[in-house]
Amino acid sequence: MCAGHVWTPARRSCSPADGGRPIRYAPAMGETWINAAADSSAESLLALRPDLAGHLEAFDSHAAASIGPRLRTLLEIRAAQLLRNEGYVASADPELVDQATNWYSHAALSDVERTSIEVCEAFLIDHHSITDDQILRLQHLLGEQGTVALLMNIAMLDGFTKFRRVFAVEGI
Amino acid sequence: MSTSPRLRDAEGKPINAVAEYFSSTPYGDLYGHFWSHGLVEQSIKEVARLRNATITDCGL
Repeated sequence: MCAGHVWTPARRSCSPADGGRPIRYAPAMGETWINAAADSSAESLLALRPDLAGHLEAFDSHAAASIGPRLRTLLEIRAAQLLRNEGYVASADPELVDQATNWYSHAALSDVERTSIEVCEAFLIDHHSITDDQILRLQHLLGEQGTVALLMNIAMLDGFTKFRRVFAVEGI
Repeated sequence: MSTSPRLRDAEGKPINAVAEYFSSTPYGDLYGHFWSHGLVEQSIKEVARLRNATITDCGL
């Protein structure tokens, strides 16, 4: 707790004890802080920096293609769950949400998918917790290049899910 | 936490598969644009990079 402040768990904020304005850590989804954006979509936000957005889209598309659409979607869902992008989870295929949520035991997942989500979860929660054993299992399943491609996708999802969540724009 | 280099070639020697992966993607264009253009001053980007590396325990 901050000195001289009262903790208000319902708002998840640390507001001044003298009744000053509470701190808002993130706006609600759809209430983006960026006034110049045409709307609350990720596309509108990135349109403010079109050159960078073009390079980003080109790279992200390449990275996503390297692991395939099904695994990418499963990772997107798990990242959205862990980083509290509720809007994306609500709009995703319920069957895939169930698989991503119960990755450790869901029969529909392959070994590659299960291990990938396991490492994705560790990466997002605490990247130091990823073990040699987990990486060796990935290398056995995906090879060296495939392991790098997977971790690149996870890194993109980690960074840009947070990026969009902070700005409260929709999309993964 | 890694206890040894995690990416190795067929003979067991550590390799930079990350660099190999990046060289086959449009990452260089994105990275180059990010560092060479934009509204944020170079010094601010470098300070942010160093702070990020410290927090995430990255040796770069």
